[in-house]
Amino acid sequence: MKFSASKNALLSGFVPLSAVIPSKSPLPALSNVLAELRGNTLSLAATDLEVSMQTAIEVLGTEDGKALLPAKRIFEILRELPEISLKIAIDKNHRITIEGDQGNYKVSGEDVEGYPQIPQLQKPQVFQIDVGRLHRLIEKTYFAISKDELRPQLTGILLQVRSGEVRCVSTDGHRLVRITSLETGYEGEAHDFIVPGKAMMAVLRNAEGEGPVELRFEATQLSFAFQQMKLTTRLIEGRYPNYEAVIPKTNENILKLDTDTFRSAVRRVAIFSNEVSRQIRLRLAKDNVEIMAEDVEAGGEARETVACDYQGTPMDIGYNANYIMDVLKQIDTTEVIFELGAPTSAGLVKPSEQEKNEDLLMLIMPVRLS
Amino acid sequence: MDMDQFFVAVELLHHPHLRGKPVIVGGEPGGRGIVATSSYEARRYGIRAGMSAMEAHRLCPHAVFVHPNIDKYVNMAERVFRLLWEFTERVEPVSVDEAFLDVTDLVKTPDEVKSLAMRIKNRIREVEGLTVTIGAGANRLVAKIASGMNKPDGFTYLPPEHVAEVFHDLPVGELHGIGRATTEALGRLGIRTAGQLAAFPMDMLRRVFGKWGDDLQKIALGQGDDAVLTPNERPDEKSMGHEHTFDRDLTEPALLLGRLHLLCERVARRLREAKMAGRVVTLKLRFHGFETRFHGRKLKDYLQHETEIFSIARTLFQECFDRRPVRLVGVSVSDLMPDLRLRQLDFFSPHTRLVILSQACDEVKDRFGEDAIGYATGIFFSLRSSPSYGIRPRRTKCYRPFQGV
Repeated sequence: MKFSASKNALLSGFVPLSAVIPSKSPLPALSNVLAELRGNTLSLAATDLEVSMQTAIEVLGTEDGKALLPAKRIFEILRELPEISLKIAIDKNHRITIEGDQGNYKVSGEDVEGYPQIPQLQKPQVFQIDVGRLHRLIEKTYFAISKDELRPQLTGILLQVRSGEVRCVSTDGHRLVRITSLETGYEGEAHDFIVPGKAMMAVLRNAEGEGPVELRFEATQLSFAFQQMKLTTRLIEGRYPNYEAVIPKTNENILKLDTDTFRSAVRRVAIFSNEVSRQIRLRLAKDNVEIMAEDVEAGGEARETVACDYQGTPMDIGYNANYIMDVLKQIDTTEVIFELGAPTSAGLVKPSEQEKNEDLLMLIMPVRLS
Repeated sequence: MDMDQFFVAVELLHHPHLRGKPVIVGGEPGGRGIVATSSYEARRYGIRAGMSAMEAHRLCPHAVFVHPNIDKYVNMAERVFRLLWEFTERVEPVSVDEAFLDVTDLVKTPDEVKSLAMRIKNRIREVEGLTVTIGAGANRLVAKIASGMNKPDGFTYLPPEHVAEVFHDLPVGELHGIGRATTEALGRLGIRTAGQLAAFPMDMLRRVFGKWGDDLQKIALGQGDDAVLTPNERPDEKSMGHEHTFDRDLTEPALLLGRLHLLCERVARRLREAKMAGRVVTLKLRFHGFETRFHGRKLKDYLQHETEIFSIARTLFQECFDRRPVRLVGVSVSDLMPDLRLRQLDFFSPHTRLVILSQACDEVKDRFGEDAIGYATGIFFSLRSSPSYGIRPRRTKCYRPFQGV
């Protein structure tokens, strides 16, 4: 295999793959990039057996072929090179030579035989969504994904496709996000997918610019195609918990706060909370909320008062400060609205005004105070 | 500081008409309970703590039996301990009726020791109407022995030069820190008294007890440097457990499990109070004929709720109950850690529902007493004092003097 290409073109093909290449794997071949040259098109692929990413770039090809390239070395040298034209040659013994103006670099590759098959969907069903919308759906939900492998469904984002709308839901049991994109233009069957967090992160990192993303799915696989990239992922099997059932319908205590003021106050007070529980206490009164933290072990405490508009029963409610900050980070409006129930039940968090064609709702579960 | 006939003394405060009579706090005379505490009048008939109620009744048929109300005693003990804190912060309660005080910085001479002891005794008598016995010495070991020398309402100071003499003939079992197993092991070596233990060749003690042998001999000599630890300084509790001896041996699984559930409730409540959770559950069963079995399990998750603890305890019970009559059932939770992570509520975990339920129940119990609310499984037991199983006024339930049958 022989071709030449500019450093930037090569980098643009390689960088997206870094989102899926496993840092450690029982299968050493997975630390490589699978490259295939046909004419002037160089296809690159990487997989961790769950998520696969494929990219394609235009090069000046001289000899077709297939090869495995050690990802780490190639990334490193590409990153360090100036924007120049490079000549790349791989011989029959998998020896890779990269030649530039100032010198050449040699590294050993591997036989492509050892690399697993990159899944290709046979007769997929298709629908489309705007890149920007998909990006926003994932961006708003990614933080609430669970890391608990014992609840595998929660380690993914639930993607619900409906006529006219697409929803993304994520939760780790302590907080929950549901964001709906309206007027998507899709008319058809309803579908639910639980997409692994890692795949969603790869989409988030690479889905840029404008245009549609084409989603294809078949049995337990889902693929996202955008620009010159295609990401295919295994879907998480099983049922997503009935999240609608935990969204309270009758929370009557309404708390309105300035988003930034509240967030920075929580951040300061949280410094004095217990390292493990991160517990803060909110004391809600009509015109102000008192934010308190105490760490008995480390002997610290903090207290701040923030102005608010609270219509409801005065009460104390405890939260993990990190969860409050995570949720507030997703609020783009200057004012945030909390709709609370009892100190032991889930509270709703919303922006004071929804974006056009969007509905964002977050839920946060308190910490038991005693 | 040792409170005199503590449970009885508290009952007498509530029921002054029983003063001067032989009073026994403990199980029912007809049943198989034991004597928890007896009044000095009752002791004259040979009645001792730990004796079966039946035996006590035989020795003194006209003794008044009072059903124990542990809440009441714990409450009183806390009030007394608070009085001790007026004298020094260095108070270590060791049981419901005993506490060590470190007064090294307060007194210098034997006279000062005596005058401080008298002030403490007077204060407790004036405020709570109780008498206590105080023993003083150079360390906990000596103070404990001294407190037993002049009961009730007494005071003894055992100066270092008299320790050897007093300790010489003491049975080893009476020494603080030597339990039943060690006493038996020492007995096999022919050692019965502290004097014998002190004189025993050290290399032989070491061979039998290892390093513990060195400590044993120090104990026998009345030497010790164990500090008095306030509750804040004490190492965390390693386990929490409760057990119950039945009035009669039981074979019905439903009744045994009902009692087991009640014990799990108590353990769980204590765990929550201490803000701890544990992940080893151990069941204790003592069968007719005193054979005792322990059966435990280590779990992945930390538990703090009775439903979770009981579900493990029930499995353990089913694994080792063989239909033989059971005399005692107990449950304990160990491998404890602070419950910080468990306090975060969860949308989907059934644990969260349990947490909310137990929090509500704990609040009711805090306000209205331990029996104010409970699981239906425990209903036979919480209404046990009513022969007709009818509903009785809650407040009077715990007090039930039985005139001799």
